[in-house]
Amino acid sequence: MFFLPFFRRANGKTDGANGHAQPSVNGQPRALIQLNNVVKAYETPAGKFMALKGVNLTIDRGEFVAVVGKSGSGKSTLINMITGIDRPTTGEIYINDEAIHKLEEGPMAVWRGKTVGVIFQFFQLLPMLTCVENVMLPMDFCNVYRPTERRDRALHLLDQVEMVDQADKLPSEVSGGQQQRVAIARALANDPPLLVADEPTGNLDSKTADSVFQLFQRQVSQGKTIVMVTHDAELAKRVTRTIIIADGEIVSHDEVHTQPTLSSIPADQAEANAAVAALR
Amino acid sequence: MLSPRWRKVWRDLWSNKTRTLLVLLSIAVGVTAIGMVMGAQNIVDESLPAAYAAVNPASGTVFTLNTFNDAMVESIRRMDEVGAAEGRRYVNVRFLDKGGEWRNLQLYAVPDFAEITINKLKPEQGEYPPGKRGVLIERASFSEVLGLGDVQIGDTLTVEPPDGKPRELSIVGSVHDMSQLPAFINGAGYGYITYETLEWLGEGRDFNQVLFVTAENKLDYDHIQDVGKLIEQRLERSKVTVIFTLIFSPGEHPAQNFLDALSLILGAIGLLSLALSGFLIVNTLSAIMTQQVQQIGIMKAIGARTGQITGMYLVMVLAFGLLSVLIAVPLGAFGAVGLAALFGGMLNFDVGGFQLQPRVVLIQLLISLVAPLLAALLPIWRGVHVTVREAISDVGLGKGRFGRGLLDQAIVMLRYVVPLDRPAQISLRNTFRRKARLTLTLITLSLASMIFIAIFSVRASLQQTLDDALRFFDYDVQIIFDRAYRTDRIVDQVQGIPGVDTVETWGFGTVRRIRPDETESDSIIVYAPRADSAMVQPIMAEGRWLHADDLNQVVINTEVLRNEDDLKVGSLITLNIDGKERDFQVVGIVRGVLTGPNIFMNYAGFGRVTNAVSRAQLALIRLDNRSPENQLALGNLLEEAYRSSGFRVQQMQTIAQVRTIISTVFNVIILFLLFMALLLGFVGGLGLMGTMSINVLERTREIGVMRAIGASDRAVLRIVLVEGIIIGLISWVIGGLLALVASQMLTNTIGRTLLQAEPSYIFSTGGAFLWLATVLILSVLASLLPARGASRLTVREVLSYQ
Repeated sequence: MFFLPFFRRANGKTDGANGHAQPSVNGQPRALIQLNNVVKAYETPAGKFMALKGVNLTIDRGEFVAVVGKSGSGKSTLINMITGIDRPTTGEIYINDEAIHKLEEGPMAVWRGKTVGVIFQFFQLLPMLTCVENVMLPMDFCNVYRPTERRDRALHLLDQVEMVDQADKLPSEVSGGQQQRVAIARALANDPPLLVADEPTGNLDSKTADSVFQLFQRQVSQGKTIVMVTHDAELAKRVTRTIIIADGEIVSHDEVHTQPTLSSIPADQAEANAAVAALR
Repeated sequence: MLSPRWRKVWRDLWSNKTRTLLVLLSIAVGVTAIGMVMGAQNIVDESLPAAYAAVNPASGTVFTLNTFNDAMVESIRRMDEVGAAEGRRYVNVRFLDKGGEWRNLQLYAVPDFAEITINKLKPEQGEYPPGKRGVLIERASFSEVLGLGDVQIGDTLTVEPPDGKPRELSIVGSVHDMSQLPAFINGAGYGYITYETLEWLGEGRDFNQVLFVTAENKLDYDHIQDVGKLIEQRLERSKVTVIFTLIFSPGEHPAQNFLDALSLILGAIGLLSLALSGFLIVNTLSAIMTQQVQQIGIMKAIGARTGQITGMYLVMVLAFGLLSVLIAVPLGAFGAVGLAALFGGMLNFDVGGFQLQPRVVLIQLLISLVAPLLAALLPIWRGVHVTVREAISDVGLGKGRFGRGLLDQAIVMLRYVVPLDRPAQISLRNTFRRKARLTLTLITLSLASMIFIAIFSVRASLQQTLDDALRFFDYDVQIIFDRAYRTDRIVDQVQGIPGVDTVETWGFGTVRRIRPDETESDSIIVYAPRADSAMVQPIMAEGRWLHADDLNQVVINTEVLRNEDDLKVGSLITLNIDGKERDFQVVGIVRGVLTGPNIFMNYAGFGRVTNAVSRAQLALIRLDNRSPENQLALGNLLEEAYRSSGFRVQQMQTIAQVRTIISTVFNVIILFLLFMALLLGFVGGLGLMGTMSINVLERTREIGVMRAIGASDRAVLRIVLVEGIIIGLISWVIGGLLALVASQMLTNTIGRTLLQAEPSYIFSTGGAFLWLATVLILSVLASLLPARGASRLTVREVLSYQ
């Protein structure tokens, strides 16, 4: 078992960006995600379509947020704003102190690679790379971690998602649920503070969905922030906060639950592993 | 250890082997063609000029009607302008080939084989020099076409020289004579004998040819002409009649224009292949980038910059280029040697063996790397700049925008004009969904169509040119005598033979024009037909043909105008005939067809000037039955009739034989053109296959939906096939329209290079329809594989396709 702090980033800083004290603004801890009056309008052949109609949203570090809404409600658009995959027509988006609404495509990609781990509904691993190679890819693009360390780190991440034995298999050789786990490991490759997932369990059976959810919960307990789009009402009940969006507007910011199901940070990994294993 | 992104590039190359092979072929086609053409050109340039120069080719050869002796050769040799001179004796004999047919053989008697300094002979096999009653055959004359197909050294030939007595001549060896026109172009084989053998054949020990090399300015054509004229004048002063002086382009092989025509075609093939290659590559790379869109989106989502992604795909293209080099360089080198050997065989010169030419390889490497990179720039740029959102939100059916523009609406409106069922409408509209891709495919296929149809027009035109030429002189058998005989004797001898329709004796000679500035033109051949001749069907360009009572009127052909461009209908023309200058009036201009510059005047007028009113050396015979077989049979009969009555016959030739000889040359050219056509068809088919397969790939989900609503295997197959056929048909129409212009250009270019004259032009509608059939078959074949793939997908597979 490897310890995370053992790995150094290429720029020499040590790991563990999450969990330390925030610089405060007006006495309040600065949020990880801040959306101010974000509007998104599309031009379609049938006229102008308002996907987001002035969204205001604040998400703090360490939150596990579910974004719930019907098809066409704008939840995917909202997620795309947060990941920088899409740009607002008007409004401001601050993530990790970065004004991403002002970033050009190039710096945006760099920022995204280091700050956000994106997990899609369809696993979208590159089909010709093995599982471990897929996990190494973000490190390669963003040039983080020394090249000689990357494979070991990737194996460590695969181990965390229990896919280390399939490290050298191609995506076509593993099941859907396993692919999704690899995708999660890939999202963690550059140790980003934020994970964003768009319907991550949409294509999985309930047992697999559950184990994936456990993985997310573990990441939150280790200090990551997760924003997850889902239509699964059951899962939505198990996060710290649910945001309901309809017709391009947030209709509810409520905190449905104050704590996750696994309420305590596990005393040691072994206990956590046993708990996770028991649920499979 | 390769980082993951390069491993992706590497594995992408091998993941779709068919696709990779398609790209490699696309690049390799152009690069191989360039390598072959350049390589062959280089090999020929290295072998031919040096070898030709080594035989010390004559600057010119003067052919005379009557013979002269050694003293004359010596006096020519002593002229200041002449560097070297040699005399030879040419005699045409006929021999019996293995099939029992009489064929022609041109014999050259050499005074001393050991002392040849001009037009040197290289011994190949057997004896050298030939002994008494022996002949050396030129190595390229051992061919079926010339009647020497299954003949070997050691065999004897039964020959009949002009004196009519048959003799047994032994083939004692073979030589290589580079100074001659290749025998197949000449139409008769070449043989070399000693003067002893010449005497034995019943001829005198004298000369009727003098080979000369100028003392200076050996490469100056005009100077050589001047020296030639001086020599002619010296001969004429001694009452030796000069027929003409043959001067090839100095320093160039005799068949250079033939080689040039072939090189032109090959050069065009090379460039065209490269251009089409380029289009193919653009299309295929666009398809690849389209397929990669989702992956590009993912990579961007996980932090890849545009520059990094661009680099990956550029490297992939570079890899394609390098892999193609592995195919194209060896293929090109082998092809080059093969091609050069082909030329060598045809034109009777030697080429070296297999070699890799560094310059050619370098150029191939450069093109193989640069061309794909250039072709890839736009597709990669577009593919890489797709936004992440577009790339990963690939919902809905199909790509491309159909329905907005005027063209699309017109296509939709077609349903009122053309009664197609809905699936066929789908095919029709599908064709126009991806307009950029369609355009590229159409460019490739239409160019192929255009060239293919143009090639058939060239073929038809060359054949028409030949027909026109042969119709001009509308006889069946031509007999040339060794000397002049009384015309009534010539006619009476054969007029009564059954099967003979008409016998005419024409006047025949050479003249020079005296220009207003007192300079002399080259020799021009004069034909003097009878006023009422039935054997000439002139194709008038301007003015009129000769009238029965014309005496001082002449008709010139368009070839005369090339050097004497001041002449017009009505001009006065001063001709030097037989040493006397006379004035004539030009009354008409005819289209020259393959016979060089000619002047025509009535027999009566010619006879008056040459004092040869009742004598002739040329008999033209028309037969009742004009078939080639009958021409030959009766031709032999007539020759026999003359010989047995004591006439000295130089040569008998049928029109069919002339046609065959010229056709053989044309056919070689046409074969090359057809090869080009096939190549283009292949490339066009490749292009179409690539387009169809990516079209199907992009519409996989649509196909799934169609299956879900009831489309059978056959229905899906049909929809894809019909789309392919529609593309083929459109390219046929475009190509056909372009061919209307291109055919004429191609015909004129080849005609001028090969024949040094404007050929007749015909547009081959047969060729257009042959291509229609070909393109339909090609379209079906090219679409079949993708179509079958499409029809085999199940709904489930397809609708969960990512």
